[in-house]
Amino acid sequence: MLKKLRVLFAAIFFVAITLLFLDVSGVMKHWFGWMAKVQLVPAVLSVNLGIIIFLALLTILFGRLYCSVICPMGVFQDIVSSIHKKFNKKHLYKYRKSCNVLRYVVLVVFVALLLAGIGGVAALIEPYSAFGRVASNLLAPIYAGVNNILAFFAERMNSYAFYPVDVWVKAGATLAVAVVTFVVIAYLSWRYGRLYCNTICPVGSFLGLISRYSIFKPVINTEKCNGCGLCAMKCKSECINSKEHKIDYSRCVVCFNCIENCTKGAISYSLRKGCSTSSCQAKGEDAPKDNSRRAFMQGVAIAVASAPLAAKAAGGRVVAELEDKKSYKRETPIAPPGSKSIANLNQHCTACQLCVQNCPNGVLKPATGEYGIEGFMQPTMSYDKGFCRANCNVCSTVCPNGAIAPITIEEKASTKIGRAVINLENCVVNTDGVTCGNCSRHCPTKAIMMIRKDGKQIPTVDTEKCIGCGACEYVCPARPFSAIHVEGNEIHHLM
Amino acid sequence: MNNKLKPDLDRRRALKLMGVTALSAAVASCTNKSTENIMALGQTVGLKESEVPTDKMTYSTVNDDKVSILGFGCMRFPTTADGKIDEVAAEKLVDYAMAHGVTYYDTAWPYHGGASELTIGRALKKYDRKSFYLADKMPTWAITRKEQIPEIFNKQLEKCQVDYFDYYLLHNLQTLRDYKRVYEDLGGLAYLLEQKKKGKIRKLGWSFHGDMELFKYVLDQDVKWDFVQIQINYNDWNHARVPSKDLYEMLTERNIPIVVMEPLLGGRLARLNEQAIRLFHEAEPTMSNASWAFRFLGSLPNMLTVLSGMTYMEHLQDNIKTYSPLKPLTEAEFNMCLEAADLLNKYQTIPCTDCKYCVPCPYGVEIPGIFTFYNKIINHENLIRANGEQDEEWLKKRKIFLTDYNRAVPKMAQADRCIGCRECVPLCPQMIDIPRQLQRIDKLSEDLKLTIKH
Repeated sequence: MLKKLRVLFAAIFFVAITLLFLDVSGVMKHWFGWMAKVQLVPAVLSVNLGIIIFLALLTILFGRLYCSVICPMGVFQDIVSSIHKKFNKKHLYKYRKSCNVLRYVVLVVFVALLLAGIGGVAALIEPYSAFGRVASNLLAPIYAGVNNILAFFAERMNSYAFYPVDVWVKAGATLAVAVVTFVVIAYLSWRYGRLYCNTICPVGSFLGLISRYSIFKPVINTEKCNGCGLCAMKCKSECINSKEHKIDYSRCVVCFNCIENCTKGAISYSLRKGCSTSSCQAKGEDAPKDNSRRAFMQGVAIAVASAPLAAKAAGGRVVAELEDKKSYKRETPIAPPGSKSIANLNQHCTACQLCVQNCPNGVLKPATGEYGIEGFMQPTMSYDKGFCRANCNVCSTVCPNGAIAPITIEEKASTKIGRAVINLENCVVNTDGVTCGNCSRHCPTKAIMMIRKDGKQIPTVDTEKCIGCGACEYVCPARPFSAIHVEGNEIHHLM
Repeated sequence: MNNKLKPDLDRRRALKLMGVTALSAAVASCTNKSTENIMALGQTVGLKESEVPTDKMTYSTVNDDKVSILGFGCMRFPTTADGKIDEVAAEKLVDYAMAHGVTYYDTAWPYHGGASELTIGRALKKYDRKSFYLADKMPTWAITRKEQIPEIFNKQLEKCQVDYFDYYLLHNLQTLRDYKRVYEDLGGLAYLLEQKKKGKIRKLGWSFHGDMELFKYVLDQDVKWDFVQIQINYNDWNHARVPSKDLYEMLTERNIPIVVMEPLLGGRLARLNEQAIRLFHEAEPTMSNASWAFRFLGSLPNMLTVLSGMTYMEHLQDNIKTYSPLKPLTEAEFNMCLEAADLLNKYQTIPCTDCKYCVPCPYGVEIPGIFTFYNKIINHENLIRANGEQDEEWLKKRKIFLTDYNRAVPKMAQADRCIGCRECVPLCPQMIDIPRQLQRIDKLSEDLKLTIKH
């Protein structure tokens, strides 16, 4: 019964969050947008105290239910494990000791990186954003492809239920990361169940620190237990030491598989009781636990000490990285409106790709080297497929991290995220000897004027009016490089 | 396709047809029973082959040639997915037309990127040279040097695999400057008159897309023009920039036979708006929209032939049926066509006939596709203003507009790519201010996109 409930809720969360990343219609975010916002790391980064307290209470009450229900990467691993079970009924888990040093070192480094503002690297192992990258890079193209097939038939049936959407690789590096993430995590869960969650995942490690003291937990009744070990063989967290009747609650994700499988009814999900229960017996295992606690505390100390240093190093990289670029690759990348500044984006973003997937104008793409290493895979503006229309603030509404903070349409219309730069050598007025003015015609803020110079009508930019939306760059006919392009503003400001 | 005739049978029947005397249209319409029977069956669109008469075609009496009043235009052959002419389907159409009494075939240098002349040459090769009339044209706009004129003319004879052209035209006269440059300064007219003397051209004429000044100038030349090709249809009769009616009357006064082009405005008079369809169908529930346009033209005196670019067998069959024999319009019906034109002009469609002279655009804009899309929106009454009240109806139409736009034209070829270089403007026979119209459509689509609440 408990397991069925868990599976039901997990399925609802998983399908909804996945749809959030696959959506082509633009409606899912209105229904399921909150599911991204209750993810732990996004809530921490956006300093959403309500959510943080809720998740802490949830865990102290019920254990790591978060990992079994709310976390899409956790559910994804359960799906892989259960597929394996379908193929190979004999596949069994076995108890292994907790790898605490690795767990907490990873957690400490993760926190340190976040504090240092190098979220791009930390994000690689963050479960929600890792899932986002897998969904947006690997599943979304399939979903869009199916949509396009339906759109093809809809067109022939004169229906408007489906319409075609563009599918393209936004950034090769991010795709590669998504593939590696998918392969590694799928492999680990295929072989070892929740090994990733209990050795690498910083969210798992953090929640584990709380869940050891959770009020409800699976408890082995030693009187009923015949020591058959079936519970351990079915435990995908591999945290039940059946011989000693002990459960490592820091690793248990309360999936209820043990309870479901125990033929003697010896395991129950119940309140913490006195010293006669296993939780008390676990005290006997003081040494490793103390070690882990010590490791954790050391890690925190190191992280706190090194944070300012790392932040400094990160600050100078953005421009330096791209300094030697010629042609019209941006010298300063453009961060989406709402992100306030490139530094703010870099610090808060875990590169989950939700904004990239939901951008209706096809403007956002994951950065490769644009922001430097600290902004790897974070969203940046590209005006190849469209430009940032004045009526849209979708990225700021979906961002769960506060990396792209909520911004109103009006505010956005006067927020200068960049400014247009003209290269007259490329302008078709000069190369083709034609009249053009397409940039001027499409500028929503009327920042581009056509002036007469040497008998030609050439564009000029009033940078005071330019907000960096990219309409000019998008419609510029010059090839291969637009004669007008947008350079990002490191710090956004109002017009 | 319904054509089950074998080629040899086709030929035999075609040759036999050539011997049949032309029927007077008026007599035929009174006596012919088969037409009435078909109409009683209520089948006009998607009619069966058995309902298309093979020997009832109406022929023009304005000159000594036995020209069918349905002329076969070679600008809109069926094409394969890669845009090349579907040779098999094209030949089938030509064979079918020959077998049903169509005798006039009209091609030109630029049609299908130069492939049209080759295709019609191949298709007609198996027929007796005297059993059909072939028309070709000198590409006025392409001439920059005197030597080009004989080069192109001889190349055309070679491509069409003929020794002479029955009808030859100065193609697409648009500006007086171009006419004077090519046919006076570069000696184009003298050369063509010489070819006529040599027998390589039987009848000399010109096709016209210009203004009244040019029309009068060319007409007043000291040349016996055997025919003139102009754009006439019930829509343009009163509503065109240069009304068809004026041109028609001037030519008829001078007894110069007329070849009609764009009888359907590139299919626009077949794809009518609901009000116009209602008007026609309430009068004759079983007749196709296109048949009205053809009867309108066939009913006018002084017509040599009405050219139609028939891409599909059902178009060809419908047109043959309309003219086998022609049932002239009554005065009331004639006026009804003009009324339909008024209804059409209430909506501001763009007079593009999808002739594709304007493309390829140097900046990649798919001009005819955009105009076809836009006219479809108008004809289906889906046009909305961006600042309209956003009720359910409006939202539905916005979705139709934006979805249809993307379906009709790839994003990178849409109107926002138009830079206004105006290279297409002199190429448009309909004198559409293409950049202005594109920018208008772009503005509307952009304004509509901005109304979306995400």
